[in-house]
Amino acid sequence: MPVTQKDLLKVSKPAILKGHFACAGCGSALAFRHAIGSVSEEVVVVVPASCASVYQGSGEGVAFNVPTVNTAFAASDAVASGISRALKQKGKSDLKVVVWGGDGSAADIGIATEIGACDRQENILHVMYSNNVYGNTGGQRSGDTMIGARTTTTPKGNTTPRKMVPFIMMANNARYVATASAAYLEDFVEKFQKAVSMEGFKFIQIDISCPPNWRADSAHSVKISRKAVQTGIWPLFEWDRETNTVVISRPSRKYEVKENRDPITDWTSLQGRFRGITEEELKNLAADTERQWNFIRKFM
Amino acid sequence: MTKEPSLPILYPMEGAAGRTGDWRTFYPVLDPEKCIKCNICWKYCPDTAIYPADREKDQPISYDYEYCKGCGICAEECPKQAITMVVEGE
Amino acid sequence: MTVTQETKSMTGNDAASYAALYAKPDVIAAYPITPQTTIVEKLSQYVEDGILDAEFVIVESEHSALAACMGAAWSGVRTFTATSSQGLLYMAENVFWSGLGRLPIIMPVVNRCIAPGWNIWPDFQDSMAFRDAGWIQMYTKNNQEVFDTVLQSFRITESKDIALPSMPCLDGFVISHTTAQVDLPTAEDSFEFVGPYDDPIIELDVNNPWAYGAMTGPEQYGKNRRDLMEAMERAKTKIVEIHKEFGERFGRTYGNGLVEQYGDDVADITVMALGTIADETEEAIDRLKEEGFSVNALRVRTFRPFPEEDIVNFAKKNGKLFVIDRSVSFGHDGQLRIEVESVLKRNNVDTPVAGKIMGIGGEDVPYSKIMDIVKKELKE
Repeated sequence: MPVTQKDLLKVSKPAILKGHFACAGCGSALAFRHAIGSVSEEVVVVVPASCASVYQGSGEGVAFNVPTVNTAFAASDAVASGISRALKQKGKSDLKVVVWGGDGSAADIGIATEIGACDRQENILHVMYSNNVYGNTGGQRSGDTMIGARTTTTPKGNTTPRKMVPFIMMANNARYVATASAAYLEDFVEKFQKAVSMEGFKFIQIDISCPPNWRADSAHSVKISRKAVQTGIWPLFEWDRETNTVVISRPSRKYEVKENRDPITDWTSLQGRFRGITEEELKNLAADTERQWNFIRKFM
Repeated sequence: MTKEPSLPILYPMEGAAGRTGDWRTFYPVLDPEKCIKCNICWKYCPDTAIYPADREKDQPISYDYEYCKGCGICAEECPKQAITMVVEGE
Repeated sequence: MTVTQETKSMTGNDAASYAALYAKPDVIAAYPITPQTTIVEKLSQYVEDGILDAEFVIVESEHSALAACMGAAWSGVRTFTATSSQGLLYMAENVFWSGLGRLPIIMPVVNRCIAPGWNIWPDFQDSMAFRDAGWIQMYTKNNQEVFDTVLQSFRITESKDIALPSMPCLDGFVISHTTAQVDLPTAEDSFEFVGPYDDPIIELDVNNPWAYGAMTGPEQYGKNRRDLMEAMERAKTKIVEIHKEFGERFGRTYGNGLVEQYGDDVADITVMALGTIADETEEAIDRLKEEGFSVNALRVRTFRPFPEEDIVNFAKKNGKLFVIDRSVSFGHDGQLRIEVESVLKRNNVDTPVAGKIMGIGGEDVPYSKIMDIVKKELKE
């Protein structure tokens, strides 16, 4: 079902209340607002150690207006599995179980747990919001950090290609895998809605801006996410196990063709974490981006 | 009476992080004449600090300055440049 | 009038599986590790055969096994898993999360040495490492007691005024894989004793959402921990109560449930131990008495909460305590001895305490060895 802005306006119960702890311009809070908002009456959110564990609350109350379970860093998908199975025993399978965590857990420390849940075909949706660093702890390199990104543990620029978690989940026989962007919220919510209506292990990775760790202007939060799509850095697509086919999402279609992409520097120049990026690094980053597109193309 | 355990539980609360409007350096000011009531700014506000415009009531958007963190996304995304970020205190 | 029971031959692990089967958990998480594996294997068989209506989650690690049980506990259902040694260590943060978080989970620990080197024989280094985690810990001495204790654990843990997960411990191989006779009650009588888990300690509710484990300041955190300490204190009474009820129903008791005396009330020397060493001690006591020695024994069944009062009261009457530890807190001493000495001191009981660390790495501790060290101690 295509989702329009009007649908986003129709939310009956807000999923996240005003006055939460997220940084100004946080793309993750923005994404949570609309995605979880679209299922706010029938969702359980499982949050591993991540920015979401912090922006949720302060000690007197929490901003999340939905049942929320906080877990240890690597544990979220196993906890979600336990919840999903328990709900099944109780005849409450209509409740959606959603893991909402960052790249630290989904790409690194929690990946075995995540793949395990996927392999068991647990009926959960894992949304990985990525700012390409361990955000909470001040911005260290994660498995999802791209080439050229300066982080606190790669001050001269990360040299390793991104660990593409969506591809890992495709290879592990997930039910549905998609990528999304905080700049294209209707597209994200549509994918989210599609995913929660399916049985099995679903995975969506959403690119969200992180003004403090990216050393970017908070006002550019959405613009940077948009540029990531327009430069081809972040391809938006969906893959369904039943068809084993990738469908490029509308916002990304034009940029499938390399020549149509905006120069990568349109995206990097907005972020302090790419200050000093060399021509060599930009070339490698472009090559790694093309590697991702090539992987996707195999399924088209 | 059975003593119930004291669990690490917190309940939903507006302003869980306090009056986040106090975080601001800049605050958004709308020129209501320019507002076309598209609600794009409403959509992109991570803090739900914008009250949506209502085309039928011919009402532009407005702000909840209690919780607006002054991130500036609304000003940046407005297709009509109807929003200006002004330094607090001015 | 106690219920009818059937005497069956089974291993200690089977006894644990039976107790879990009869308690009817809704979610069981399974990850293999010697010598616990057959507990979950048996349960998978019960589920596949349709005898047990439960969701069986075959997870990819112990960390996830306990995490899955935690998810189930948060959803308000009865839940069970089992582990040992490295597996218990691997799930360490979740062990603390469950204990400190008051999640009702039953998890037998089949005691096994911690590596390096690889050693699958029993000692208590594994469960002792988690005595600080807020779990009820009970050490069993034989297969029968495994069944009885696992069943009792469901009642203790799920009591709203306790709400602490349980770790019933059994010696690897000596209990887990050794066949012995167990008087098994019927499934119905067993389930009736445990009761359904219909008043959950916690249950997620879309109509009344809460966030569990969010950011917490010192005041709230402290309040939760103090409440936990009080619950541990209350657990002593609760364990005794439930143990008594169990005894009336099923005709078996182990002391008062916290400690179990063997022999006379008063003797020159009291041997204290946990698990099967305490069982061997009974044989040692009988033979030592035949030889004319004045000895008795006090088995510590419940280690957490620590049965301070019972130990102190027994110690007051006796000449000397000799504590055998099957684990050691490196840099200090055996944990049971340390804790026994501490409660005696704080209650101004000057009964001398001696001890020995035995059975480490699965070293065999037969009654003859116990007799030798007791005699040696009495000479000094």
